Amino acid sequence: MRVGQGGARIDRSRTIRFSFDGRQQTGHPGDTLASALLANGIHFVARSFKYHRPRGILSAGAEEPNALVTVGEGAFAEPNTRATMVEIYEGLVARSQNAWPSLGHDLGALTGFASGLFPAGFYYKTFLGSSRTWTRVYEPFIRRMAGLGPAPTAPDPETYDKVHAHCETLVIGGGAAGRAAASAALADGRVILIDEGVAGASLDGVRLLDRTTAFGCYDDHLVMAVERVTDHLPPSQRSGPRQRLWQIRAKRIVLATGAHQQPLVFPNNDLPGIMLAAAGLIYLRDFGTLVGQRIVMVGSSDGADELRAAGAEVVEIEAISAAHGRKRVTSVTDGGGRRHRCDAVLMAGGWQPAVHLHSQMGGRLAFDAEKHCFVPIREEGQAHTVGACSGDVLRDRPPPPIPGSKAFVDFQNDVTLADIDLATREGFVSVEHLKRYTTTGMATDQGKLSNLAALTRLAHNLGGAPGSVGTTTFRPPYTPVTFGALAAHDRDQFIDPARVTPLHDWHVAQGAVFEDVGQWKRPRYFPRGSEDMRAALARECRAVREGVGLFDASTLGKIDVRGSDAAAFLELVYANRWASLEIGRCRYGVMLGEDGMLLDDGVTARIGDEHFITFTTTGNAARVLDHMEDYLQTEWPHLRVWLNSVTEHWAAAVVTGPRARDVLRAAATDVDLAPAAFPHLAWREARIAGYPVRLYRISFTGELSFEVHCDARVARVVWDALVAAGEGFGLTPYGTEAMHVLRAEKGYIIIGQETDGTVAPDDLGLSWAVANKKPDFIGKRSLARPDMSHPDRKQLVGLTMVQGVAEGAQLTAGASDTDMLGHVTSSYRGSLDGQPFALALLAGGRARIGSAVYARCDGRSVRCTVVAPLFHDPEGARLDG
Amino acid sequence: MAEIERLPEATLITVRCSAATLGQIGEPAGLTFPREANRFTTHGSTRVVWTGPDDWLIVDERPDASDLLAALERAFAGHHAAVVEVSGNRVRFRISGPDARALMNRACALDFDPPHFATSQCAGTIVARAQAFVMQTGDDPTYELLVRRSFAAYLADWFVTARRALPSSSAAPPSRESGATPPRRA
Repeated sequence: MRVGQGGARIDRSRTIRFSFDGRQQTGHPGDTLASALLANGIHFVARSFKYHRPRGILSAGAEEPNALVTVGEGAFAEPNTRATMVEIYEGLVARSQNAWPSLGHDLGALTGFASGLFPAGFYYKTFLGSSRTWTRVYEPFIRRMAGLGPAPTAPDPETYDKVHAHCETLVIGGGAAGRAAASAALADGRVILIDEGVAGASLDGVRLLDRTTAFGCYDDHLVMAVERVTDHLPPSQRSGPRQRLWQIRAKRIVLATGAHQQPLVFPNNDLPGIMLAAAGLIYLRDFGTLVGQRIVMVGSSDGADELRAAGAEVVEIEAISAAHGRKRVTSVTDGGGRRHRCDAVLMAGGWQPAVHLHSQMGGRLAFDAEKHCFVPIREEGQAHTVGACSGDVLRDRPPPPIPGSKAFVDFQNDVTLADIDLATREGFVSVEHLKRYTTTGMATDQGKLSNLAALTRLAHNLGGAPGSVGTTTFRPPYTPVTFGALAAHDRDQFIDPARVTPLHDWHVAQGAVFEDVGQWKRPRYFPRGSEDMRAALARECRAVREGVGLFDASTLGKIDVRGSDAAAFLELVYANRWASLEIGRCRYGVMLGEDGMLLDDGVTARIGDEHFITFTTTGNAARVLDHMEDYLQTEWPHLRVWLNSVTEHWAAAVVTGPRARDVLRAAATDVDLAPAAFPHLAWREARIAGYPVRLYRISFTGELSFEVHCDARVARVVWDALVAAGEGFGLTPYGTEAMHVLRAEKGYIIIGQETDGTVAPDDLGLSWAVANKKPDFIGKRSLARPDMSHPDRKQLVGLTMVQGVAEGAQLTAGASDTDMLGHVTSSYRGSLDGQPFALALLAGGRARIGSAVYARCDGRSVRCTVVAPLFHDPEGARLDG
Repeated sequence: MAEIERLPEATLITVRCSAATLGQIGEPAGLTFPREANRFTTHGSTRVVWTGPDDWLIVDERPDASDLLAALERAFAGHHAAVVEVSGNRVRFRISGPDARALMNRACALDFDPPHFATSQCAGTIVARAQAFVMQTGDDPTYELLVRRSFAAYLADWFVTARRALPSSSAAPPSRESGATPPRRA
């Protein structure tokens, strides 16, 4: 009820209309939703989490566990908002939650009558049965009954901001202690002062962030805070981001976060109308609102005269043994058994400093027996605490808890004193176990109003002094943070960067369908007209096998290796021999880990006597460079070698197919393309469209191939020249899908597809690439392990079958065997005949060639014939065109 | 207001050598290589950017600086050093205008307040989710970014989106119409 007295935060000259549960209400600018509801005489605003008990407004701040409501409508709705922290605006729509059909008549409240079935740990006791019963019956039931407001299902239409800030001193808490600390710190440099509420007067030189909650302290003095930028404005006046996430790195942190008054524990202590004493006084002083006409004060009588002056009848009692009422407190019984009629109770259970951020930073706590609370221990390197947060609180010795029915310790998670006692009896005597078993302190309020009582009770049950059982760990966030603020700009297409090649726009213009390869967008196929993937794929494959295709290979990793020891270095990091490679030639190389397993593969070209360029697989480009740098810097620092990534400097276009030489003849100058002058696995300099390019005769399709590498800045010009030159030859752009088919037919492996970190060179038939006569190379010793020559090692084979099999399918010897012999690594349809074929890793595979195995696929067994992993041009005659 | 410009293609050259080698050579091709970490020097249209203790990136605004490349190769010939043209590797962005610093504070965790980051300073860092070298090229402040080419489109779009959140932005408010949310059971 609004009274003439007090009201420092409200503007009585103006009226704001808002609605709660569909009913129109009024308030004043400056009101919180809680204060405006109380001014309208509304205490009962919510139903509790587990028992659906009527709940009111307990506090006047961030610690509120009860008054959780949904604010806003449709996609703009925000559930579980603390009414004590919502500033009202014209047209605000708020609804109660967790009640059906209505707050006043909630069927869920039936669980309250059956509460004997739902004691602490009831999940483990009541819901017994098979795991199927849990997922089909119990869990859906619990999810339906428990929980709070539903999240909106539409995408969040709001925008959010995220910003980094730096300062010498960060003060959290804008009360008297915080403001004094902020002013004093100005001599040391930049000062930021954060406050949850509306800022007071500005402080010269201090950067003031109001409506901002510091919710997490992380390593090296990183503080995360969320600023509610427009939440307090009517929608019509909002512009820009709704909230802003601050990531503040501070040299020094001062915590002035105050203290939370604690509730008392007695039967029915959760009835609407029963509040923290300090909150009752805040509502009077700041909002000109009396929380009741006839108020019982217990635990402390501070402010009783103020309440009386405002027109309330106030009864002061020493202790409460029980409260009475249904949807609002109507009376209490005092310690002496006397009944007092009332419509509000203000309880004072002592003060607990808000040490959450201190604890998150690793700060330790001590129990102060005199003040009956946990206080921060000051240590070097920890945040500085000032004011009430440092333990400078009143010495209220709260009356002891009164056991009995529905004496709540944790309001938000519906944990009673009896639950704590039950847990102790059942042996949950560690605070961490108590917390997990009863869920006390685990709600979104982080136990701000329950930890002290729960820990004190546990200590009491164990016969120890309060504080003797320690505390649980405080974790971020201090109060709930919306995901929108955490993601801010990094949502939708910005969740992960999309990397594109210099030819991307051309691919888009051609209508390419893209696939994600790591962060890269690569054209998967280029459909023409109404082609589906299968039709496009067949056309692209045929073009390469019978005419000529064009492929964007710019994503390949490229590392420039230079120095007088460049060849010696490559001898060590690759299993192959490199010293003998002539300038102008290329060689396929196999890179192993120390375990002898394949790490990467690719071609390396010798550019000069002391200069190589090595190509890596797309996904491994950064990893291979790191691997090489690691060995160069730590194992062989004496080698004179420099490694530089040139992945993005060189764009790469593959011209491949029987007509590839014709296209190059039309496009390139200053180069002799004749097979004798420019053989397979050689490279030459040339010019295309007047720009210098490097041509590499490297084939990943089995056909005559030229990889055209050029400066990425002119990639499009060179590409366009190739396309123009190819016009008369039916040059067909193809994507990664065709590339996969074409390479698989030749038995060319893909790292990560035919390999999984357990595959050695011989398993893939790559022994020829391993120069065992070299004195050393990475992985050499592991290759000598007996297991490496075990006949049952999984080996790469080909499979033919009548119907296609899925990649990853298990292989067995018999149709109904369960012993796995291997798995399918690649499965496609032939480029020309369309017949299914596969590559597989099969135990003792080479010895099984000619025999049958079965692939398990969608519950069926598909008979496959084991063949050599080579389906196209076994003689390699086509490599020269 | 913050302007985001993609700058014309330039010539980029990586130079790798030890500090000792650099000490012997002095000023390769007449350029002062910064010895102090996270600094760059400017010589007309050419910048020499410290990118590591044995690593410099030379940015010449001319798209063809083959004369500079040749001069550097000559200067380092016979030394254990690498001079590698990497012009295609990165593209350049300029961030300027009154809110340039505010925009960078959204993109990057570094402290851009003076004197912690000033003109002639640079850093290899993460901008949004892309690796980049950031240089402060003017006191206003103005920044130039060197970003891997494949990330350029992503980063340009990201900057344009993040810029809308700047306090001075006059971006239109989001539509307040509720989405098509199905009715919910309480």
